[in-house]
Amino acid sequence: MRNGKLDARRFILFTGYKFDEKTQFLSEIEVEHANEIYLEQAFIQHRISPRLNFRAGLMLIPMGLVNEYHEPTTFHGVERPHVDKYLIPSTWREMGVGFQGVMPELNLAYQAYLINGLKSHDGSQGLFDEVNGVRSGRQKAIKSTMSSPNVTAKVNFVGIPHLNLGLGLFAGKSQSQLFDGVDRLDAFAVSQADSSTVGMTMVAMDARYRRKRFQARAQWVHSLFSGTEAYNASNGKELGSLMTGSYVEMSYQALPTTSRYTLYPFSRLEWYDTQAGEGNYVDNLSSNRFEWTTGLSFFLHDGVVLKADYQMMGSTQQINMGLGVWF
Amino acid sequence: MLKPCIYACLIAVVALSFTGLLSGPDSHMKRMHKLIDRYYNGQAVTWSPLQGDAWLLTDETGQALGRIDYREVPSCAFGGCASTVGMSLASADMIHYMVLRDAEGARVERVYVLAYESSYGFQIVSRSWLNQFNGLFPGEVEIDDQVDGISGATVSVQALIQDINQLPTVQ
Repeated sequence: MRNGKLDARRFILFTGYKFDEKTQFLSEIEVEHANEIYLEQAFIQHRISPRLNFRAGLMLIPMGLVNEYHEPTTFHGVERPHVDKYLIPSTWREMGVGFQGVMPELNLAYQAYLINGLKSHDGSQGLFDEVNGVRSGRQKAIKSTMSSPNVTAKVNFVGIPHLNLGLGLFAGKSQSQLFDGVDRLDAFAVSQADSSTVGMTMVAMDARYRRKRFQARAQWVHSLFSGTEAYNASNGKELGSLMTGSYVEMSYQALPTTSRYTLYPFSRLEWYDTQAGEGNYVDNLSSNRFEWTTGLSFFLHDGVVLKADYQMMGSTQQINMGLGVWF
Repeated sequence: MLKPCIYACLIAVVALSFTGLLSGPDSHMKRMHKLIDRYYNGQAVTWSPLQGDAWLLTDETGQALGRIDYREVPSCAFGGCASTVGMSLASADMIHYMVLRDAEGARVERVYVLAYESSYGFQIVSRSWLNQFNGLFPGEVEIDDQVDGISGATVSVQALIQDINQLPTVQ
């Protein structure tokens, strides 16, 4: 028997300012669990042409379905899918520069940024592991470390009826505090710093389908790592060369279209493995997970949702209830 | 590695910043002509300005082919997009689009999105989605009945449908 938990999970404030027709500033401040405050986004956007925007600042990494659109009214279930938590560490944001735009005649939107990467070592210990994936590596722009820049890009294509397809890429070397002030002549310190980073290439494919009352979404994330053997050896970790995961979710609008409310029963299957591929690791069976979530999203308005769901995660079962508001 | 990239980006931004206007039909004229030429298979089309950002299209013999309206409609505010109600136009991101109607200015023949400013709800630029307007009459377009909703683009869908329903009728 366990006690229930009541939590003001997230509270998000958007503030923006449009200086003129071309230049805007956007920030998003999030209060988590009622007492933790984070800056989630803060960037300027300069419109170069109708289909090309320049952006610089703290931005969301455009990977997967949830990270960029993480407001509770945009996904079913009280908690975000776990693939969007451990493989794509939502809400994942870093400092960077790049471009964004929409090409109407090609049915697509694109983004491409040069951006800071995840941190794999904080100076005293390794931060990636075989169960929580790369989640602890988020820097959230809190005095973040940069030892080598990463790149990320995403294309969304809407040229096929009822479908929105996304293909995202994130690549580069992870960041490590050990490079800070390292003496280049000290071979041991240099090799220790080198083995505190891993190379990471993450590909995320997603699809959203909507036809009349039926909706479905699916996502596949595949992260390839290099240098994990040295990383494991010097940090006491058990990483494999791969983390991979997917989910599929279906929902159906159950109320008549004449009703002012909408009700979506939904069901989601997730399977993911945060320790796979080659490597010198010891198998951790709890890295490979299969989860089933089913529940209801009841919208009082497009921006206000009441949620309830039941989750089966291995031997753990739980019931979640939530309230989401977005305006 | 990083520095040259940043310098290149900044130079590109500064250089490109001086190009063109961003609102009004003038900034889209070239593309509008290209789209219309393609629609009429390269047939010579004369554009005669009407009141507002609208044109009457005629062929070589002076026969009316259709009517074009250029429109800008607020969709999402930068960063957020749950409702455009009460939103000031100054902070809104716009949809720039044009509607081609028949010679009587009644039936919609084609809707073209020329530019979509927001990063939310861009799914409405989908050609297959826009084609649902073909053959419909402004004032009579209804969501779900004739035009599907799109998840994640509710506001843009409603803004566009509402604006098409308010297109000026021809006297």
